Amino acid sequence: MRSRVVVFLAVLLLTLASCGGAVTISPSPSVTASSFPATLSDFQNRSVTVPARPERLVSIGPSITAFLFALGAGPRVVGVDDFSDEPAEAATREHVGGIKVNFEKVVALKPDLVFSVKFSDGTIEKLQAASLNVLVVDPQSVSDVAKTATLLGKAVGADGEALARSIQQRVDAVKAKTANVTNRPRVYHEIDASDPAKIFTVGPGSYINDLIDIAGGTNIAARAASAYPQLSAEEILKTDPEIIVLAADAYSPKPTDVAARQGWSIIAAVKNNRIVTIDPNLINRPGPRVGEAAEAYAKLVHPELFR
Amino acid sequence: MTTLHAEAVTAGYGARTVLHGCTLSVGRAEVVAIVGPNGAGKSTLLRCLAGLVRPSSGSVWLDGADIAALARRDLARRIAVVPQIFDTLFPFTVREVVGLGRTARLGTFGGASRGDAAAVDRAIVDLDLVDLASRRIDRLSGGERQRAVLAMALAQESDVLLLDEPTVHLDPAHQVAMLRLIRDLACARGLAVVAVLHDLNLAASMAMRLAVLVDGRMICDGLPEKVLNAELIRDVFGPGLAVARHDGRPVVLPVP
Amino acid sequence: MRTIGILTVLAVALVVSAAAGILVGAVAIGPSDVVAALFGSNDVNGTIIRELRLPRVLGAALVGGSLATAGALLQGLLRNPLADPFVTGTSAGATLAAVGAIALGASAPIVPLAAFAGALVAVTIVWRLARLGGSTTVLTVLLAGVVLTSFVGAVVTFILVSSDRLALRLRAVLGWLQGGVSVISWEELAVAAVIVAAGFGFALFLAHRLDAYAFGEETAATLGVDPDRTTTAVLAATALLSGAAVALAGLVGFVGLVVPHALRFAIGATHRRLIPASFFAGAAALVLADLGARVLVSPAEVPVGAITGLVGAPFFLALLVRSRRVVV
Repeated sequence: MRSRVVVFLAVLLLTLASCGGAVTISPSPSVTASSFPATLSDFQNRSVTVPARPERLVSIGPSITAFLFALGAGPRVVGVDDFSDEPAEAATREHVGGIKVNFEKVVALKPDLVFSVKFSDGTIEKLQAASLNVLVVDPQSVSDVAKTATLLGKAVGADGEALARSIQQRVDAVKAKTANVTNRPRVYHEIDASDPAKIFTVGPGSYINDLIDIAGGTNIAARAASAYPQLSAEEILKTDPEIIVLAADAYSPKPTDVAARQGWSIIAAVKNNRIVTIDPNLINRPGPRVGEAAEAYAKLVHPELFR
Repeated sequence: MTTLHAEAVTAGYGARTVLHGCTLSVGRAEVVAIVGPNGAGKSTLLRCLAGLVRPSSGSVWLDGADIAALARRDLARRIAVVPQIFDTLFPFTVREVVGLGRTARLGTFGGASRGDAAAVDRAIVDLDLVDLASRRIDRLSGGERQRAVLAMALAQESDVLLLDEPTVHLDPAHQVAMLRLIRDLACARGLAVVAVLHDLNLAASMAMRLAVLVDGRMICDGLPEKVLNAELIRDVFGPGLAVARHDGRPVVLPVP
Repeated sequence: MRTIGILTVLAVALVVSAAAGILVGAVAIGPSDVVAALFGSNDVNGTIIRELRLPRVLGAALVGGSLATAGALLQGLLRNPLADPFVTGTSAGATLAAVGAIALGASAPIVPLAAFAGALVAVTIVWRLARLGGSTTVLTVLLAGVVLTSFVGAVVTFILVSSDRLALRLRAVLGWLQGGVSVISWEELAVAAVIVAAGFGFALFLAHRLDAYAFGEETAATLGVDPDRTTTAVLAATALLSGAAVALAGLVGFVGLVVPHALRFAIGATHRRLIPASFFAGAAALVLADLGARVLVSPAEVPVGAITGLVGAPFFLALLVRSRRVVV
C-alpha cells in the first residue's frame, strides 16, 4: 500500500517536473553550500568572488529576474528594476529604478549580490563604489541563454546547468522540426518604427535574429552590419518580406496600421495578410522562456508544421 | 487756406506730458521752422503733425479733416515725413529707397504704375541722384543718404512735407544747399513744409516763419526778423548769445 | 526683367534638385526605371518611387520653401537679417504639442496636427503678450518669443526626464526634435500644400509693405503701412508657413535663417523678389539636404536637421566674414 503511494507520488512529481510553462527546478543535491566561495567571470569578463551563498539578491534586468525565479532563487530576491514584470511575483518586490538606478534604494536593501545588465553610464562602477558585489549578466542571443543560466546558477547556489539543458532541449526540438523545410520565408521583424524615417529591425547577433533562424525563416536583415540595424522603407519594400512580425504590446503598431502605410500594400506579407503578432515578453529578452519563444516563433513562420 | 493745422494740442508719452496746448498752422508753398531749446518738444510736435503720436487733447486738421480719422494709407498720400534714422542693414538701392515713397499708392501685390515710376524718376532728378540711382544705400555717405530719403519723401507726392533735423549729417555748405533746395521744392510743388531745426541761423535762412517752442509751449510764431530779437533769445536760450544783422536778416552769434 | 531671370534660374535649380532626390535613394533604381515608375509602372520600383520617394521630395520642397519664406518675412519685419522663423515661438509651441502628443501615445497622424496647432497657439500667445503694452512693436514680439521659447524648453525637458514611460518613446521624440522629412502620405502632403500656398500668397501680399520697414516702424507708418496690422499679418503668415513646415518635418534649423540672408546679398532686398526667390531656393536646399540625409550613411539616415546645421553654420559664418560687418 505504502509503496504504491510512493510510486504514485513519484510519478506525480515527475509529471509536474516535465510540464512546460513556468519552469522551476529545485536545487539539486550536487550543488551545496560547499560550492562557495565561488570565483566567477561575468559578461564583462570581470572576476567576481561570491564568498557565501547569497541570501539577499537585487536584480537589475528583467531577463536576470526571470532566470533567478526560474532557478528557484525567487524568495531570496529583495529588489528588482521597474521593468522586471516576469514572473508576476517579481513585480511585488522593491523597485530600484528603471533607466536610471536608484542607488540609495539598492544600498538600503543590503544585498549580498547585485546582478545587473550592462550600463554605459558608470552605473556598475557606482554600485561597486558603494561596496556592493556586482555581477554583470547581459544575455543578447539564444546562445547566451545557456551561459546565463549556468553563471547565475553558480552565483546563487542552484543547478543552472539543469535549467540550461531543459531550455536547450526545447530549442533543439524546434530546430529539428524546421531543419528540413523546403522554403524559408522572408521575415521582417519590426522593433521600432515610431520614427518612420528610422525603422529598426533585428540583425545578426541579436536574440530575435536567432529565433527567426531557429523558426525556419530568413531574416531580411540577416546580413546587416549590426544587431539592431536601421532600415529604410524603400529597402523593406524591395526585399518584399513574406511575414511581418510585430510585438503585441501597447507601444507597437497594429497589423492594420502597418498594412495602411503608404506604399506597403505591395509587400507579400500585406497582400497575403501575414502580419502577425507575438507576446512581447517572449521576444523582449532572452530569458528562461526561450524554448517557448522558439516554439511560438516557429508557429508563426511555419504554421503547417504545428497543426 | 491752411493745409495743416494743429489746434491746442496736448500730447506726451505715457504719464509724461510734453506738449501743452500748442497751435500751429502751415499752408501751401509755406515753410515753417520749429525751433527751441533741447527737450522743448519739437520732435513730439512734428510727430503729432505726422499722425504718429495721438494728442490727449486738441486735434490736428488736414484740409479741414481730422487726421485721427484717416487711415495710414490715406495719410501717407498727403503727408510725407523725411525719416531721421536712415540706417539699414539691408542692401536697398537708391532707386528702391526712393520707390518706397510710392508704398501707399501701389497695387494690392505691390504693382507699380507708370505714374509711380515717373514720380520716382522726378524725385531722383530733383535731388540730383541720377548717378547714384543704382548704388546701394548702405554704401553712400551720410549726405548722399540724406538726399535719398528726402527723395523718398518727395516721391510720395504729398501736399505736406515734415522734416526732423534734415541736415544733421551734412557739412555747412551742404546744409545750406539742402535747405535751399527744400525751400525751392516747396515753392515749385506747392508743398506745406514744417522742419524742426536746432540751428537758428539755418532756420532763419530757409523758413518763412519761425515757431518757437519752449517747455512744450508755443511762445512765438512769426517772421524770422520779428521772432529773432535780443529779448526772446535771452529769455529762451539764456545769456551768451547776441543777435546781429547781415543783409537785413537776423543772425545769432555767440558772445565771446 | 531681372526678376524673372532670377526666379527662372532658381526654379530650374529646384527641378534639378528634385530630380536628383527622386533618382537617388536607399534602393538603387536606374534612371530609365525611375521614368517608367513616374509613368505608373506596376512593379516594386514603381511603388518605391511613387509612394515613398516622390512624396518625400515634394514634402522636403514644401518644408524648405515655407521655412525660407517665413525667414524672409520675419527678417523684413524685424529689420534684422539674423531673424529666424522660429523666433516668434513657433518651434516652442510645436515642440511642446508634439512631445505632449507622443508622450500621451497619440498615433502617428495626430502628431503633425498637434505640432501645427501648437505653433499657432504659441504665435497667438506671443502676439498677445506683445500687445500688453499697447501697440505691437517688433521688439516686444521678439522678447515675448524668446521668453516663450525658454519656458517651453524647460517644460519639455521636465517632461522628458520625469517620465520613464516617455523614455520608451524617446526615439520618436528625438526624431521629431532633430528634424526629418519622413515618409509622407499624399493626404498629409495635400493639406500641407494648401496651407503653404495660403501662407505664400499672404507673403506676396505683404511683400511691398515689408520693404517700407527698411527704416523702422515709424517710417513704415509714415509711408502708409499700418504697423499693428502688418505685424499681426506677418505673424499670421509665418505661423502658417513655419507651422506647416514643423508639422511635416519637425525642427529643421538654419534654412529659414541662411537662405533669405544669402539671397539678399545676391539679388537685393526688395521683398517682391526676395520672397519667391527664397521659396525656390529654400525648397531646393532642403531637397538636397534630405538627399544627403538619405545617402550619407545609407542605409541608416542622418536627421535632416543635422545636415542643415552642419552645412548652414559654416556657410553663414562665411557670409558674415564676406560682408565684413558685425551684424548685431
